[in-house]
This record gives sequence, structure tokens and C-alpha cells, in this order.
Amino acid sequence: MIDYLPVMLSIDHPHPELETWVAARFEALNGHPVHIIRRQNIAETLKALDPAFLKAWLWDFVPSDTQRIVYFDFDVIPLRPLPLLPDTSFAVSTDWLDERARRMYPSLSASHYFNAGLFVARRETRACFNRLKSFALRRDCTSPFVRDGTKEQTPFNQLIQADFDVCWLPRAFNCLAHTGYSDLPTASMLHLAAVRAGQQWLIMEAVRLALANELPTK
Amino acid sequence: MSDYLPVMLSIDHPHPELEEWVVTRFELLNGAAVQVIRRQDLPQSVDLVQPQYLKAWLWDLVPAATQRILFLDFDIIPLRPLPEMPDVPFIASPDVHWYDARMRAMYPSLADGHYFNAGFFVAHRDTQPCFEQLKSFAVAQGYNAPYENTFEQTPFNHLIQSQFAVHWLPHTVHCMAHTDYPELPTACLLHLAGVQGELRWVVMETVRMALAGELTAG
Repeated sequence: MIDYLPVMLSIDHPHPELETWVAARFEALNGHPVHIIRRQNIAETLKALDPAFLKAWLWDFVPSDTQRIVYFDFDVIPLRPLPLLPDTSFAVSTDWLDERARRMYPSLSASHYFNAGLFVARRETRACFNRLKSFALRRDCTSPFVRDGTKEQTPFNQLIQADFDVCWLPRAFNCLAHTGYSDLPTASMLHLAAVRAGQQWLIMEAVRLALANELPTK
Repeated sequence: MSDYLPVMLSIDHPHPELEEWVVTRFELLNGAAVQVIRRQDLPQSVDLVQPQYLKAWLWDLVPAATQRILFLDFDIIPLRPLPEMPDVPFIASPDVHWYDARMRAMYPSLADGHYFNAGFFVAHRDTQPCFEQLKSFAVAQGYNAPYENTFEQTPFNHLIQSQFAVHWLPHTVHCMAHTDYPELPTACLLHLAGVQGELRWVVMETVRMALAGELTAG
């Protein structure tokens, strides 16, 4: 079993009780306490950035001896233990925009387009994260990728895939909640991506209530 | 023992296993078997009627002896037992707070009351003439005019509230999944209204798995 540090970016979470529950559930399922990065952990100079771009600074936020991170967005529900993770530089699942992005970007046409809400990265990928930082700061988060709604995800795909062969994990690893019904029976993480603002917390709380035996089970 | 017939309109449900789970769970929680109305139960004359308007035909689809129905949309998760329902002609919950306020501001006839969400209600047979008028509206006016976004809900509100004093239930009875986070800890029904597409069924299946013990408690 490979070692990793789970990391969650949780900027201005409106329901801290759900943040606590997600972190506790991840730890209970996978045996690793989650390193949570909140607004107070971020340098003043970065506070104006779109939070989606803050993952470019992940390697600055974790202990310097961390060799591998499993990153996840704060709208991810741990359902089951993660599968055995491969010992590769970067492992991730495809996004629901995979086909569209591969048509749009020739550099990705022979590969896939990943969802950046959950990934496994080794420290050797740090140079890509540093380039993403430059992108975020120079473009001031108003690049075409921000306007098309993918924010940091498209440049991150391009930077990582330019330097590394991505290990593609099954979609059940990062089950996207608006498209992943068929993956749900074996899903490790349910990602409430593209869920209307506010709705994702109600969905998460409903699942928490059900798992916590706070609802009649009959 | 409940003195109502629970009725669910389930037209072309994409996941019959979830339809079955919802009706079984409702019956176990509330002691009343749900009558499910599917496309094959409908007369051919309503084939072209939009599914939202089919509730106008409810009294034609239940046994003639039925004096009271409790209607449920097929995207409702029964969480806890319902409270006793008072013996009044019509019972419902206000729609989400901001929408209720908007509709009350738009329609003077509703200004002193509320605007109900028609995904859940309890109706006595006394109300059947309102349903008949809703049928006429559906057939005579066409289904999109003039209430494109609310379908049958706005004319149904007008028809019922022009003839009956609605008994208003709190949002804890009929909890709307996109706004009612504070109500969730004691909610009886979770209505996935406003949840788009496949996400509704992913949420329902996740809650089902959690309640069925198919996920590690963590």
C-alpha cells in the first residue's frame, strides 16, 4: 500500500459540520487523517484569487516531506474506501467533459480530459503546479478557461499531460454526481460537481443523516 | 392507520428500482400502500398531456370510493413518518421561501396566503371540481401558456385557493432539496425539486444505499 497525505481545500465552507464529517469519514474509511486547507491558512497575497486556482499552491501547504497527496474538493462525499492506488506520478479519473475537451484541444485528443476535483499526485509533479501558479497570477483568473466555466481545470490538464503520462483511474474512483448513476454501486467518492450552489450541502447532509442512522432504516 | 390513499405519478421513471424503493419505504414509514400511476395506467386521450399536468386526472385514476389522496411526485424521498393529517379539504406546504414570496408578489389573489409546491399535497374528494378545471385548462390553454416554468403549479394554486382555505404544513414535512437545509434534521419528505436530470436519481440511490447498509458506516 502506498503512502499519501489526503488534502482538502475548504475555502469558506458554509457548513463546517459537513467539512468535519467528510474529513472524519475519509479517515475512517481510508486510515489517513485529512489535511484541511482553509482561508486562514492562505497567504494574504492569494486571498483575491478564485479558490479553484488555489490548488496550484497545494505543495506549499503540505509538510515539506510529503511525497504524495490525494487531493479532493470539499464537495466530495467519501462513500467507500479508495482502491489500491498505483505508484505513478499522477492518477485521476476522466471528466464528464472528456469528449468535448478532446475535440477542442488537440494536445488532449489522444488522451483524456480529467476532472481536477480528485487526483493523486507525487511531488515530482510540483513543477506543473508552479506553472499553474504563474498562470493564475498572470492571467488574474480571467482567462478563457475561467470564462468557459472550467477555471483551473483546463490549464491544469494541459500542464500535467505535457509532462506526465497520466494513470487513468475508473470513473468509480471519482463518481460525478450528475452523470454517474451507473458507477454508483462501486463508487469510492461521490463528487457533487456541477450541482447548483447550496444544493450540494443539502444532498451531503441527507447522505450524512442516512449513514449516521439518524433516519428510520426500515 | 392512515385515512388517505398515497398516490404517486411515475411517468417513464428511468430507474424502476428507485420507484419501488420509494413506495416500499413510504408504506413502511406510514402504514399505507402507495398507488403508483404509470404511463400504461393512463387513458390514451391524455397521451400528449405533459406529465406535470396529469395530476389533474388523479381522481379518475384512483378507486371511486377514495375520499382522500396524498399525492407524491416521483422525485421525493420518504425520510421519516408523516404527522397526522387534519381532516380538511386541502393540505400543502409553501414552495421555497423566495419563490413563495415572488409568486405572492406577482399574483394578488395569493398575496395573503402562500404559493404551494404541488409535488406533495393531501386533497379531499371535495376538491375534485378544481382538478376538473385544471384538466380543462390543460386541454384548452395548451400546456406551456402562460406558465412556462411552473407548468400546472400556478393554475393549480389559483384553482384550489379560489375555493378552499389551504391548511399549510411546515417545510419540515415537505422539505425542498435546494433550499431547506435547516429543515432537514426533522424532515419527513425530501423533495428533489430543482435538482437537475440524472443527479436526482444519483442522490436518491446514494441515500437508498446508505439506509440499506450498503455503504460502510465509516
